[in-house]
Amino acid sequence: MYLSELKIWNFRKYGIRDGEQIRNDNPALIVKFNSGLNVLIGENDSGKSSIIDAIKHVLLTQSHEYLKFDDKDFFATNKSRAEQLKIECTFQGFKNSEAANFLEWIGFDEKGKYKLNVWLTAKRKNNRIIADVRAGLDDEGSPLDGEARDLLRVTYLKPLRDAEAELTPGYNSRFAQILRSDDLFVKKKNNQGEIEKHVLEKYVKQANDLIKDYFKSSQLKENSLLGITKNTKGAKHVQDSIIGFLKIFFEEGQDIKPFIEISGSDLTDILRKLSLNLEENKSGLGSLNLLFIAAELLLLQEGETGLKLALIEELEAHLHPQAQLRLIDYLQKEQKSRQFIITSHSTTLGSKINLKNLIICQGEDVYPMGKVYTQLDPNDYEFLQRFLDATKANLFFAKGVILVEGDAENLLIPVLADLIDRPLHRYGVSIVNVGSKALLRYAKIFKRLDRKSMNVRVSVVTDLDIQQKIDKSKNIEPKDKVNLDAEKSEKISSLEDTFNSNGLIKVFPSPRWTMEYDLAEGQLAPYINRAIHIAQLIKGRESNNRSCFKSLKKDDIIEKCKDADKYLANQRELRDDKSFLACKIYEKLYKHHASKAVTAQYLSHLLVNNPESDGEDETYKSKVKEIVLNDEQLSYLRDAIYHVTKPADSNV
Amino acid sequence: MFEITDEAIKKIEKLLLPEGETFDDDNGERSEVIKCIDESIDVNASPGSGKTTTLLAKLFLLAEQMPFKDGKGICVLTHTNVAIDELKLKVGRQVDNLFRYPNFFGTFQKFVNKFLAIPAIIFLEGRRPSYIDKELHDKIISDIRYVRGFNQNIGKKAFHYLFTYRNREKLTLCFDDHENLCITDEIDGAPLEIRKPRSNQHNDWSSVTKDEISRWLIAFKKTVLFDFDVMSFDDAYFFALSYLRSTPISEALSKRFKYVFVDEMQDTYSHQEKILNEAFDDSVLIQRFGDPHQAIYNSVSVENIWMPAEDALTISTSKRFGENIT
Repeated sequence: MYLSELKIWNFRKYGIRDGEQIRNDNPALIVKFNSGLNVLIGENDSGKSSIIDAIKHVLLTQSHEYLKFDDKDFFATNKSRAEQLKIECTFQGFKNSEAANFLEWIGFDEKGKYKLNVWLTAKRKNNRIIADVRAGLDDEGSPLDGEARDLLRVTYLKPLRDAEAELTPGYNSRFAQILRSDDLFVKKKNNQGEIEKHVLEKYVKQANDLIKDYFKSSQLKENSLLGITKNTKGAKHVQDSIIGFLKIFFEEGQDIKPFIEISGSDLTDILRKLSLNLEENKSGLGSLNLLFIAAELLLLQEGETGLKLALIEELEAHLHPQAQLRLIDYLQKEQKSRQFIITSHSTTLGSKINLKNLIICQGEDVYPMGKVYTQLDPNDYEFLQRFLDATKANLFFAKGVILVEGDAENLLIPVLADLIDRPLHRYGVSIVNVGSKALLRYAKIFKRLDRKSMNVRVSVVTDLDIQQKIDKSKNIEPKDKVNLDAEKSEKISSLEDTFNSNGLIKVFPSPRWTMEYDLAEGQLAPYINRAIHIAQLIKGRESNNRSCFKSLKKDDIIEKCKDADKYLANQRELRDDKSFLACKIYEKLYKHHASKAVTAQYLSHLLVNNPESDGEDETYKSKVKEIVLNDEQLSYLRDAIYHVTKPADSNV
Repeated sequence: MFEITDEAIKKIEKLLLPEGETFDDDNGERSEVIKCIDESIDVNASPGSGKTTTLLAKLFLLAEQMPFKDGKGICVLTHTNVAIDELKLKVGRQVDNLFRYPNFFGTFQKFVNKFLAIPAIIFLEGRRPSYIDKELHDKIISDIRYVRGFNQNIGKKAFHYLFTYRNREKLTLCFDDHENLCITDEIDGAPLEIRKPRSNQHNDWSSVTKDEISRWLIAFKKTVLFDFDVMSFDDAYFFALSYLRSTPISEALSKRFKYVFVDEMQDTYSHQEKILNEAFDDSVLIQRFGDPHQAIYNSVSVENIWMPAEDALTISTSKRFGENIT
């Protein structure tokens, strides 16, 4: 059995609509869990802890932690605070032997599988909070018996654990509690119905007998087993002198028999005296934490009856990234009928977790990323998973995402964003380069099947890919413009059909062909032309072993810029036409004389630096800015940036 | 596995029996019955042999061993609340866990309602039934003909049939061989064959009319069950058996209870015995205590009277035990 769903009404920030009564069909939050690992990831105050606390309130903890509602647990608007809250846990995946424990409350779902709902309602009344726990598959249910509820207790690891204190012997020893939850440490009755001595109690009794003997004898008996030789002294004189004093203090005739022993020979006391150690010397906090988690996992052993659910808050607490990864890797693989619900704001963890195990907490809702929840094709998941390892964090923790198909866009867009006063970092926007046009379909991960919409704006930047005329030697000439507009609008609407969704996800296609071509057809033509020439020089050097590590000097750049300008002027003499010139500029990239990535890198450079001047050249910069803000060919990139930051007509 | 010792039985005598009385008998029969805790058995007890007290002693000693290692419980099924109250009065204070989760201690009807009939209705209707009450049910059946609309067209014929010919309160649902819902007058019995009252083969209704009446009766029964939200005890058994047959609940019931004890087995109806057989598999130790000679008269036909298995243990002394000590 496992916790398959959590529903919340009016608990903390998860409030139902003002004025509505709590009904089965209007929970403020529904979280679906899978039977293995679930990782809740989100910023501070995104609701991770509230979800964990809600579960704890209904199911209680193995450590019998004292849990109590206070007024602040009830959802409040600025007008009023809710009078009533409800938290419901649904369990599924029962074995018959597990269902047996909940027969009075269990039922079947539409598929004929066992299902159990357990809910807690709490009411504020006369400054008191009254909570009630019921279970059943109908609205009314019946009270859940305490013993049955005990079978649902969760193992809970709180954030900022003090592992050392938890593992240290003492009255509050967590280790003792953990041990006692194992059946071996529960005392048994014999045939007469009397409680039997536990093995550890027998051991301690033997030790105590020896100790008593030690304080009674002045000469100990030889014992080869314990390595005690003849003539070993006992401590009789200590006990004798105590007795001597006591005889003076007490009245004559009173029988005083003090004795010395290991105190607390009862099983509970013995367990509290035990400590779990890793090495003789004091271990670091990180190791202790791992040790502690290992001890807690004892509670989830196979064979233990009841729910096997561990809630771990901030798994990363005190663990360095490598240890986090090992642990999450273990938890991901090792899920034999144990369930983990873990919270984290570690992006390191986020990148290691399978999408199916990931639940994003954001705003007033949660977004599980498993394949049943998004419109992404199930076959794409595996690929996306591999691809995402490094960039997933960017994808899911950003407030906005620009999805691009290549390095060039990846390099250039941030520069353009700066130039139009929409610096991406200020808006929490990340660019994710999926590396190929085909993979832009990954944007569908943001399109959800559960009718929720993640509050993440997504711009998909792509080429329209309408080529010009290309001959066999890859020379490019403008094509006839017949039917161009029809072809364009057909392609655009097909892209929009694929990507656009609920106003949050939008596609921004380039005006005609590729980004480089389209820039070359606009006012940035001289700039991209220069960048291509520089990139061409670098490409030439790369193919020459001797000069490949030679760095590009300022003079090289100036010279190449001059070459580039001359090239453009020559072409213009041939035919002064925007499209023709763009074809000629782009030809070099198309023929692979220069790399697109390097071109983009130098274009970015040229947009903010005048190669001919040292230091800042404000006139140069403002001219570029003017172009970037107004060039029609750039409008799709501007709009893509505005979509994930702020509209053009609003000021920062 | 633990065992029940003679000392334990001695101890329990003091609690359960009047001063000076004992479970000892000439053949050690009672002690054998009490000690037998690892197999399913029938206990064939003679009148006045004190079988209920013997069962009680056994329950007491088992309850002392609880919780069992596997966490399972004990299910004790009786026919009357009187028997339960008596048991509670005698041992309730010492072993109150016997009456609590995970055990069940109550009448057949309560068991059926709690574990089968109510869950079945929740499964079908998404809510629990308001009334499982024979008297209320029977009153609705007899009053319903005064409700407008019920007594029209085919309903007229159906009422005619219902109120002249049949034991109408016994009317309940069943399934025929093809899993079609039918109407019957015997729990888990065969579908009713409808005939016009006081008719012969010449003036009987046509088969079309009979089908219509049958469908009307089913709809009528459903109205009582789901709209009036009232079911008779017989209906509860219908839903209980359907639930047992269409879900894996019997497997869970078998994992829940280590022992099932039935008191006064001779008073068990055949539909109750069906519940017993279908709810628990062979892993459950079922021990049935009864006295075939003492079967209270009921409408169940003679061949349905309980006969203890051939290897049944017996408590044969017809004298009040204890009396042979003096």
